[in-house]
Amino acid sequence: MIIGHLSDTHLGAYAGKDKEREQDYYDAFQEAVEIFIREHVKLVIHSGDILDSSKPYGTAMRVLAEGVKRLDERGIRFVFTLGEHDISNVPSTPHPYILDVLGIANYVGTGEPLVIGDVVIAGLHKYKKVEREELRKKIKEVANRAKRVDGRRRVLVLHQGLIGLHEFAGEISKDDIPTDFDYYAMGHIHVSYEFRHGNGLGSYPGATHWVDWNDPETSFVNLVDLSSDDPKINKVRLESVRPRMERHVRFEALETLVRELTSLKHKGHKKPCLLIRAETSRPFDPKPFEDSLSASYIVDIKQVLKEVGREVLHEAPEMDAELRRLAEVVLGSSEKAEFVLFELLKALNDEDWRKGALEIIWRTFKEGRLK
Amino acid sequence: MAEIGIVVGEARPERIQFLAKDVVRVGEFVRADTVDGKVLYLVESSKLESKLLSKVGDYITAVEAREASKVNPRDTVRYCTARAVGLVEEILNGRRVYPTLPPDPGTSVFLAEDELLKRIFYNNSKEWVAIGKLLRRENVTVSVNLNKVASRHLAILAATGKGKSNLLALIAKRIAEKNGTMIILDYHAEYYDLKIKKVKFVPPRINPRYLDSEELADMLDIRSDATKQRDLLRRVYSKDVAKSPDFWGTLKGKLEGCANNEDEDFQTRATASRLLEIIDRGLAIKGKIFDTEAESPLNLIEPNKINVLDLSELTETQAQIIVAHYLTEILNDRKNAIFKKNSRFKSPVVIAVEEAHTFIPQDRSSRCSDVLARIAREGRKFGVSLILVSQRPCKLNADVVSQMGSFAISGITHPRDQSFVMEVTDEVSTELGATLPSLNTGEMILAGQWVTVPALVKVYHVEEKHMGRDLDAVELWAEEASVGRKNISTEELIRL
Repeated sequence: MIIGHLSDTHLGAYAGKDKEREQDYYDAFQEAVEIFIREHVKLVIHSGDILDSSKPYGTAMRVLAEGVKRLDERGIRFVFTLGEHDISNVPSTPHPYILDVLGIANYVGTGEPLVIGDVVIAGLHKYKKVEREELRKKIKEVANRAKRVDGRRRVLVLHQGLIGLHEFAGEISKDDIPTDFDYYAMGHIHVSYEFRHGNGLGSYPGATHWVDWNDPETSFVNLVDLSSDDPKINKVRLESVRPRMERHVRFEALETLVRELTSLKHKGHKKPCLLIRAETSRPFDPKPFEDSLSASYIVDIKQVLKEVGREVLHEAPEMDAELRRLAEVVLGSSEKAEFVLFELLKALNDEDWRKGALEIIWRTFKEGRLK
Repeated sequence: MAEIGIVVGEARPERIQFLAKDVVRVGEFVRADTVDGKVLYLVESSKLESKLLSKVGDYITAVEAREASKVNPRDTVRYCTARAVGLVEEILNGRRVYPTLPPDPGTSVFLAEDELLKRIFYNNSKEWVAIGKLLRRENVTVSVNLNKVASRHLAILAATGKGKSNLLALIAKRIAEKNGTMIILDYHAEYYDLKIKKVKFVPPRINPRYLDSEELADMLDIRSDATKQRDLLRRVYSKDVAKSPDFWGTLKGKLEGCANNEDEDFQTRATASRLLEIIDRGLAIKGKIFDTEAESPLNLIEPNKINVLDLSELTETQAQIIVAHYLTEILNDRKNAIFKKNSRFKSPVVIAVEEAHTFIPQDRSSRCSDVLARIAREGRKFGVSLILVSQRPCKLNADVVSQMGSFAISGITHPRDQSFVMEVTDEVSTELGATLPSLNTGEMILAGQWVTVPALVKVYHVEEKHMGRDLDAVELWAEEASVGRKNISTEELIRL
């Protein structure tokens, strides 16, 4: 039996900001649905971050509903959990859950095992890093419950990062996950990745379309063959993904680069996204360059000021760096800023802040660190 | 209705004094009979005095005098002055007619009945809108005449935190309910979160072709003392630049020509290069403001909407230039409308000027003071009116303020501001003016043509307006520090 597995579709990304790029995420999802139909999978598992926003625009919901309906009409069950993008920060019903209410999909994020054919599927919704202890407990519970249900194959669905796999996104380590399952259908990390776990196999299919420039340029969905005791994953590449290019250039060479780029012919079906980082000694008006490139690219020109090494801000600045810069200005030195931000502030946030903070200040004073 | 006081001392047609039986607060309305008929008075001052206690010079006498005063009710004197607001009969007919004679000494003074005040202050015909309650009578609704706001101008003069922007937001809300057209010149980004219906946020846009070279220099942040740069810009900024399809390209081309021209002296060439840098910097930072294709700024402003023009990212001079261009266009457009020519605004436009002292300063002229003065003088004819908002009335141009037909005043503490207010509006007397600093947030004196009679009013609080309050820094810090540690668990967030 073959099941389809995808994750991080981020439907509705760029909605209201860029029509073309908004469509990219719909295209990728629709392509994935077509692949699953073509390959006659028995069921499709979505490991979360179905939507880009917990308050989606209508189009995102429509594309999702249409895709799931198409699967349902062919007898293919859509099973999903929720990622942090699907969960709003006020208590409310997550939008994808509507599909469960309508009876055309099953939400498995509660830990309740679901049986489809001879496959037992159990899952959990996304847990935050601070809820790590609870998550560990829950996973064990889920594994125990799933074990008690009759079925030939067992699948665990999670939307979590594995510690060590990704710098920031880890909440649990592999050791926290019981080895009672045949397949671990993971979501959250945008990179396609496979791992062995016990006798089973785990996989992140990765985002169906890159969301930011750090994500890989190519995207996949998984076809997982569970017919033998040794599960096999067949990664299918999505063709609809928009190509992208990044160029670093000095301002003096920008015009030549623009000319070069405009004469390039693109084979693909979509205009590539183009990011140009232009190093310059003073800010310039990017509009003429953008205008001449816009026919064949979705273009973004970032200006990096040479002598200061800072970027001209076209978007929100990095808050931590900005905070540090401001702290430096106010306190007069980078040592002081670091002390306040990384040591003192942390202590002040603790429950027992009086003692902790005083201790730190006293210690620092004694060491004569901040003269 | 029981008598609350007796007219005593020297009474005049416009002002009486009376001794009260009980406490009568400033802002209260009373009535008394004269030969002309019933007259409504507004209590302007209320004094409480003990004759025994006012003359004592030492503590022991004060203690004795206190005892003596307690047992002698005659000693406590409640002395009020009240100003005639008009004959009751006439007020009810919408006219202000003053009595020709004062009441006789000894005449009874009565509290004006709630019913009477309701008939005076509440009006539900369509040009009147409710704006608050009488300060001393919480069950009397006060309405104001929007037609007067839209023709005779309004000044909102109040100290910071007394509810200026709340009142303006309330007026905006009422105008929106009446499908009116309003433009708020938002100098401090105070209205960016105004959540009333029909609000439209307008980014400032200007077509550089319509600017003269000095204005262009100001918009590009060229310092006012950089005379060489300004002179050179004037030299190269000719008509053909303004008419060229590629405005910036042509302008920069001319400057480049100048910078590379061997015949020019070194100084001029350096200035030209510097100007090029300034223009590029200006376009990179403020590029969005310039729109070389824009026909007229009016296209961005929508009739029958509350248009909030965000000027917060501009310097004072730049804001003035933009305001001058917008307002000139609006005034001309309304003139066209009156003369039945093609126009965008078929109906009157109300323009609210926040931080009005920035745009019409008293001591000097600004880039937009001419057009504002013109609107103040002749706007009435063309259906363009002003709402000036300021916390420093004495810094406003007195000629413009004297054209204001209506006033809302609160919490003015500075003596110069107080005397300015009394100068420009004859309805706020010295006595009433003395209470100005003691008014709380939202409590305002409304005077002038938009109210039937002047009154102390508690203005409604507009829920749709959040800004303007001081930030709750302590709470915000605590919130930020606890980000990611909120007590609410993911499980609770998912409601199935």
